[in-house]
Amino acid sequence: MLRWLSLIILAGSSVLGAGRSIEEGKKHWALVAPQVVPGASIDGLIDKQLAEKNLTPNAPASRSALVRRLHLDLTGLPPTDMADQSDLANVVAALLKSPHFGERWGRHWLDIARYADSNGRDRNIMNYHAWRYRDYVIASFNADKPYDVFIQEQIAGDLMSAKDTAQRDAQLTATAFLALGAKAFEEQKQDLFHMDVVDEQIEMIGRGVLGLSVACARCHDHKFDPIPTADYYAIAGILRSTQPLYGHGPRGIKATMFHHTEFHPLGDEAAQKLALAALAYFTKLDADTLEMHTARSARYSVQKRLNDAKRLVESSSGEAKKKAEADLKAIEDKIADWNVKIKKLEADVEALKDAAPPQPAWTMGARDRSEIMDCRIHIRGETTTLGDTVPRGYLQVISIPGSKPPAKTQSGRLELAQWLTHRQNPLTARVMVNRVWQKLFGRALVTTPDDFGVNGAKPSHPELLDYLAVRFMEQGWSVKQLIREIVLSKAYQRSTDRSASATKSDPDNILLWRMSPRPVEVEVLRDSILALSGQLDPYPPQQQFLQRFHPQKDAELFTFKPFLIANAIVDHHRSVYLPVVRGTLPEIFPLFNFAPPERPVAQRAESIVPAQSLFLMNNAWVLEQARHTATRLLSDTSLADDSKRLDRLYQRAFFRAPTPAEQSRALLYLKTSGPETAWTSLCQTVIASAEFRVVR
Amino acid sequence: MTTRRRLLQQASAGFGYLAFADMAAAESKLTSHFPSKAKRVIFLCMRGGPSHMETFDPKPELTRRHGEAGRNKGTKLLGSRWKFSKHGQSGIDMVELFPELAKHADKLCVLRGMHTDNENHPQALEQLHTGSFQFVRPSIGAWTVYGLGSENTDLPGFISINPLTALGGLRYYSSAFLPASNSATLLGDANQPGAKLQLGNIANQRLDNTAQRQQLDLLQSMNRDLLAQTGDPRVEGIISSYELAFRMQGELPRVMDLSSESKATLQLYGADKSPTETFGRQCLLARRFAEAGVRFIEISHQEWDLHGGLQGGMTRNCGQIDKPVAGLLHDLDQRGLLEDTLVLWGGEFGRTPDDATQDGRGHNNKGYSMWMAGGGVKAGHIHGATDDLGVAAVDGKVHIHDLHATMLHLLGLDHERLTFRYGGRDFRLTDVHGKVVTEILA
Repeated sequence: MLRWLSLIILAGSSVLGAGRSIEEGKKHWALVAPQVVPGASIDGLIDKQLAEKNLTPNAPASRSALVRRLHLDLTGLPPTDMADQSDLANVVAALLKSPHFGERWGRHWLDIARYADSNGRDRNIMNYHAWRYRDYVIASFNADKPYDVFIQEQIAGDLMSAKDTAQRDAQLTATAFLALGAKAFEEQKQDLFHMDVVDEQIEMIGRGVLGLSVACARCHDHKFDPIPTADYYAIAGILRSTQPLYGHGPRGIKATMFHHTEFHPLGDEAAQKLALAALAYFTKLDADTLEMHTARSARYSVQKRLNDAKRLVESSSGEAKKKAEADLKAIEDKIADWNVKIKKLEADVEALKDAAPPQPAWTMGARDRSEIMDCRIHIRGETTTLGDTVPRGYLQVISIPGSKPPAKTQSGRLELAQWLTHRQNPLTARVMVNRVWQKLFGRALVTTPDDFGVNGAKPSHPELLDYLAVRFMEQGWSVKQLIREIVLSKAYQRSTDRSASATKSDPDNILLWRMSPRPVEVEVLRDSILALSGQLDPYPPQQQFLQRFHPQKDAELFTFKPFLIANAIVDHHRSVYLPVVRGTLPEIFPLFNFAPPERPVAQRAESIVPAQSLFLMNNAWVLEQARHTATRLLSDTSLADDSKRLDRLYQRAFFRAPTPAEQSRALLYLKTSGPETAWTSLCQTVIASAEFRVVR
Repeated sequence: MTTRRRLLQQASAGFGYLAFADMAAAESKLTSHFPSKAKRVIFLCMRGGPSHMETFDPKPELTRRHGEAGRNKGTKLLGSRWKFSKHGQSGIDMVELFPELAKHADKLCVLRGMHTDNENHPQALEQLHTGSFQFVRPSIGAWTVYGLGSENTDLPGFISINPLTALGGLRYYSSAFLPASNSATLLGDANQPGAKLQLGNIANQRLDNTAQRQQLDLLQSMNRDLLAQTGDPRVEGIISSYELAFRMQGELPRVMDLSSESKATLQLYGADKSPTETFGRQCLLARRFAEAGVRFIEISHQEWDLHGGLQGGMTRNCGQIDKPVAGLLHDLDQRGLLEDTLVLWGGEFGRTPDDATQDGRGHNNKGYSMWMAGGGVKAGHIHGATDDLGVAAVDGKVHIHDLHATMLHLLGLDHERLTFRYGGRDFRLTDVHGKVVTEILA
């Protein structure tokens, strides 16, 4: 099979003679335990490097710039109250407490988790229950769930003990992390299908949690990093012993059939009772659907004889012709019979789809398979050429004394999760603090946030990275504490001004002499537009957008006559709550570099393309929001005149007052047409402006 | 028309930062690796997988053995019901369903030994476009624009007409990890038949051109203030992007407006009446985009996936594309565009010689035909062959990677040197494969 050849070629001299190379590998900076210099602090470590290069850091940004920066960074929504003069520490505390914090920071994790409400790929089957995982992530960040627990729950939540139903439900929901990958439902080879799913999970855990690309070891020892193929299959054994629960059949026609045994039912005992009835219903629906498919196949096997039979009638004569005619008649009769039967079966299935009984809440997730198995090495990744069996385990290069081996009677996910989040694991904390830093400064300390391997970048501030990682773990893996400490640093609060001398010696601001201006993500752009126009519904939706569709009938998004098209995704909730249907994202999403939901994305792309400009200049939704913004200003009786309206507009959009020059220019522009038209155009200009989509 | 170099000169002050790099990607690789004939590509994508034994690869042996048992239980060999004959001085074989195209036989270079790795539509289409069906990779159109830049900065460099947008279809036209400005601009949508062939957001519903320019002037003055304050190159990129967008919304509709074309031209393409109208208009648009300097133009026709209804389907499909394709070749030629435009025709795979229905064919990724014309390929040439029944390529085999390597070569790009560093390694369109098919170079 050719599909792996590209990877094989990377193997080079494939034998990475385990022991020694792994010992060598342990010396790589990221695999050495983080060390903290006594008395270290964020500003101390940054200023030290600045001083070495004779760079003078910027003064703090203006209060209004800082408040806007904090609001956009921590909650993704623009600030509104210019009169509030409370202490910055209090502003930060309030933002960390806001429910919008989880919506903002949960979304960052959803980028990593390649969160989506549909499968994508060749069979775009809907993940109607995926949103529970999304909400679990948001709630976890709001609750400041310790990051180690957050990771453990997503990998092994079903195997962890719970004090009550709510905790158990959250833990089960968390394991959807393992089930959300895009699957090739058309793949006919079952072994390959399952190994592909495992491969995707390993990529998620590797890149997502450890910042290492483990997945290339599927076919060969990793060329650069000390990861032999055996390690890949050690982890693969754990995941192969795990059933990801995505609720649908494995392949072909059966892909759209319902396998609710492959969901976790949530809730108390009463709800669990509902699950039994619901399962019986879905079992019947599946059986009937299969019967319908089988009947269609049977009809097809008769139909395909029809042409031959017709030809035989034409070409024969005499007795033979009579026989041929009889055969043809028999075939036609059979087809007619099948037509009647199939019509009935189709009607029954359709009716049954509407007759679903009351159901418990379901969630995607994962559970152990009944058979726990160690994996054999798949030579060159092939499912047909099998090598030695590898006992389940973890990466040898991160050997943690005292960490438990995978349990004999379980998949080993729980122990894997504990190994991942062990205080002595050198990567997990570093990778997370680096990501948080990247979101707050625009540039990560390690600029390859999902590759801490030999080929990845070296940290710009190694001591700072270690300081943050150790602090993070010492403070109970608290993401909020970490963010609080960073945003209250001088480094975060610097202005974005460019000083000529510093720009010359450090143009990319690697040493952090200033705050770099950053583009906002698409969610912030869209939510800010809706906030400005007054159209934003800031609360979580009571009903999920996709619940407008029929869970049984609209099970798959087909190429032709799709029940959902991108333009129909119109909703005024925050962007994080819009459905992420792979291949069918709202226009604004891909245009402004939303994280492609097919793979883990640690760092979104950045682009400036004319299509974005055209969108902001001409798009009907943008025009509508501009009109709402104008109407909101014009109908506000507390605003006496245009200059007061302009003040309010600038405050809402930029959190500052217009300069005298801006004011006179805008007032002049307002005279070019009638008030409604002119104000709509002016509001659109603000929405389309560079300042609106830059954090300063 | 602003040339790329002029734009670069105008915009050169103060750049050197990633933000503008995206827009300036068109400028990033101004030169090809070596001199070449082809400056642009028109790809006529036949989605579904046209039958090679009913188009460009006659199989008399199959016809002779028609009705014999096929390779799998229940299948029988199925000979083409249509006649083939040789055309032009070169004697290219063509099925009788292409009477117009037959007149241009001497322009074609038929590749009869094509093969690809996967026999499912989505994967095979993805590999046809990106070289990979497993990972999200840049489309060949994106690589081309990345490699050569755009000839006309008022227009996108890569345009796909009637694209497939569902089922991962967008990946066929994406720039993946290449800068976003290299991805295709999509016109129309195969998933919404009847949707107008136009770029979204290209026209303003509220303001006329003058009023919008006035609005834009206000906007740009705000942006320039911000630029003066922050010196942020990103803001500079945004300013340029608005100017380009404004020019593009003037230029694109102009290029797409077929009303200036003569009746004779519309007739030449069959763009005047059904059943050739839809595809004829696409072909005519392709020529206009080529003329205006678009680097890679893909147009498409679907419904070639004829598991049943082969007789009706082939007649319908060939009838819809024959005249438009012939018109395009003729028109490109008479305008002197054919010599530096590479035309490529074909689908994601071919068909099987045996089937249970006797009026349809299965998927065949082991052997099928495509053809090229213009752009530095041999004219009136047949390369490669399948076996006697058309089951598999046996001679002059051309894998998709080889096709890609050859196309890039014709465009003056070395497929081994056209790389992009992403996630710590250099990526190529052809990955670690691909061999230029030197036998077909003129």
